[in-house]
Amino acid sequence: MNWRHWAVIVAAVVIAAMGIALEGQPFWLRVFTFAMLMSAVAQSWNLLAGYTGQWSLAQLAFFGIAAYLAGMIEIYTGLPLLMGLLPAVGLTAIFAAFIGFATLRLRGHYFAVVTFFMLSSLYELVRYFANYTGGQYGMTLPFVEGNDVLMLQFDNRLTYYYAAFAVMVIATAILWGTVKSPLGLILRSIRDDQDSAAALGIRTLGTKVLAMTISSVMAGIAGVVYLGWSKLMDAETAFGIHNSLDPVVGGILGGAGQLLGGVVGQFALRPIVATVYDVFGSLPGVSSLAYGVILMLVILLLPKGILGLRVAQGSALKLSGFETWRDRTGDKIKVALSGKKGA
Amino acid sequence: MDVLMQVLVSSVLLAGVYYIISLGLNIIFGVLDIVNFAHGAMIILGAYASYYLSRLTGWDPFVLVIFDGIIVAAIGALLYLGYLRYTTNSPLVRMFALIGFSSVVVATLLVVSGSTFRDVTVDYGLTEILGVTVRISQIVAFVFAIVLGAITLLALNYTKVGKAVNAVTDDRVSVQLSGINDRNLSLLAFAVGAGLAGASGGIISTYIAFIPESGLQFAIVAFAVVIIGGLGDLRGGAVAALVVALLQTAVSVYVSSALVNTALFLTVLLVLLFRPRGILGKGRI
Repeated sequence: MNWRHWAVIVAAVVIAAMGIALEGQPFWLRVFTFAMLMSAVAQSWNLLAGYTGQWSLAQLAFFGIAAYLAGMIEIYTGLPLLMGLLPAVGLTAIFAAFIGFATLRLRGHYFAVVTFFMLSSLYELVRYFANYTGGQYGMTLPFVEGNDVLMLQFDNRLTYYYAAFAVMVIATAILWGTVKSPLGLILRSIRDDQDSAAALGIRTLGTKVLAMTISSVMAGIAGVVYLGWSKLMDAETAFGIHNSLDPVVGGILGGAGQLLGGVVGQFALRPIVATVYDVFGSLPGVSSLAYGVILMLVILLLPKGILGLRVAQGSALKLSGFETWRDRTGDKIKVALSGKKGA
Repeated sequence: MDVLMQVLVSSVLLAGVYYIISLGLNIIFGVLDIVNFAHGAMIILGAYASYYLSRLTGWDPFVLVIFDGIIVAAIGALLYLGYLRYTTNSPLVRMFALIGFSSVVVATLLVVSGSTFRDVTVDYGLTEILGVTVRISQIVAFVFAIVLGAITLLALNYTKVGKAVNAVTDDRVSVQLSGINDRNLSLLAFAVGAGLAGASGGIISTYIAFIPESGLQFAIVAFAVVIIGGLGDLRGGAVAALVVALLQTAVSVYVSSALVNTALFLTVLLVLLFRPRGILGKGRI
């Protein structure tokens, strides 16, 4: 075990202990519970985008689909949420496989744009079939008193914190298992050069579909637990373009293609967004302003994310946008000083 | 029969505007290799520019379209010069930077103008085309869009800079090797694309009311037109604008207006899978 493993273990213990410390502060308890659930979605995005190179905008959709399915299973068959988790996530995975089979033939931009179209379509469909999904008012689960593990119903909000913790650990474990397996190597080869991978005999489409299916399971589990926690799911939460950016921003901020990228990103992002919302909550659009500014700054300064920062010996932190600016301006100054035209 | 005629006429009128919406997106896509996810935001910026300018000056909204274009082109140029060119070289990552910019624009407009519907609609009266009653302002908007589109196409095909823009879309490396500065060209294309988006926002504002989030729906339309028409294929784009307008109008009349984006999603997916070079087969992949 090297220092990285110890750092991860220490961080996990700290996060677990933090729950008890936050018990008296419902606001922050809620913020970090949500952060851990979204970490799972960000990690699933990380698998598909960071490791496989398929920059989806619709990762949150799998979270939403699984939640809607689990909720409908509970409402229509009476199967409690936790038992409905398996069929709901299974159906989500089947959906992901189908949609992946159709969309993952497309490359780069086209895939991203089509996931954007899919998002707007799902948003519409949920509202169109309002009889089954609750439409614009969302789907609510009946609230019952007391504790019921099978219905993911706990009186103590702290229990949800640890449920979310478990979801985050499970998602990261799935990511870790996938990435460290031979499949992980194949995924990265597709990300780095799909044509070469295909020339070596790798079935690129099938592998990408598999990656999308695995990632949908990670996001789906988080969706069902989220529904148990909030008892409410609506189109905006599941398929709104603004919310769909959340796992993406988290993934890029933490570091796409880094094993803990989604987790680090969400733990950095959530407190900022929550504070902004807390301070300016009454003003419309301010939280999306915060998202936009964070996203623009991260891409300018930290395109490889927090975990991608290289701390070389004796040098300061490398900030990419600043370096480009410095290099170009430096060149211009050199040219001006040497009195020659053109560089 | 009456309904069918209504669908056809309003689709054709809509298609003119859709073409101009997609033109800027197509140019930026072709030259910079970026899907401009801020396109919707730029369109809505144009619409709001019209709103505030018309309150300020009281001029006819169609005159203001030109100013909308100039204002949004300036904003686009500033965005490129001050931000975009310093970001990482990966087009996919840059795409997300533009999504960030889009959120910033929409949020700023929400703070400044709130979420009440604004409009600069003009009432020139009604007229009849092929037995269908239409607003004259819609016809003016159509003509405006066609003229603006024609000017852009002529500039692209008959000026030196325009030819260079076309050339970069076709083959960037050869253009660089023949000594054309493709960085300046990128700036120009980004500003022109933004300006076209702003102008089309101004045109749209003359016949519908809008809120800051309305840009999203126009961005969806623009993406659909560019993909169905084929990247870099401006003629295919004209056909695609008609296809998208017909599809939208027909679905909302005959099926449900709540399923328009689903129809667009399926159409775009089918086109990408079976005609990846666009409807005329002349676009770039």
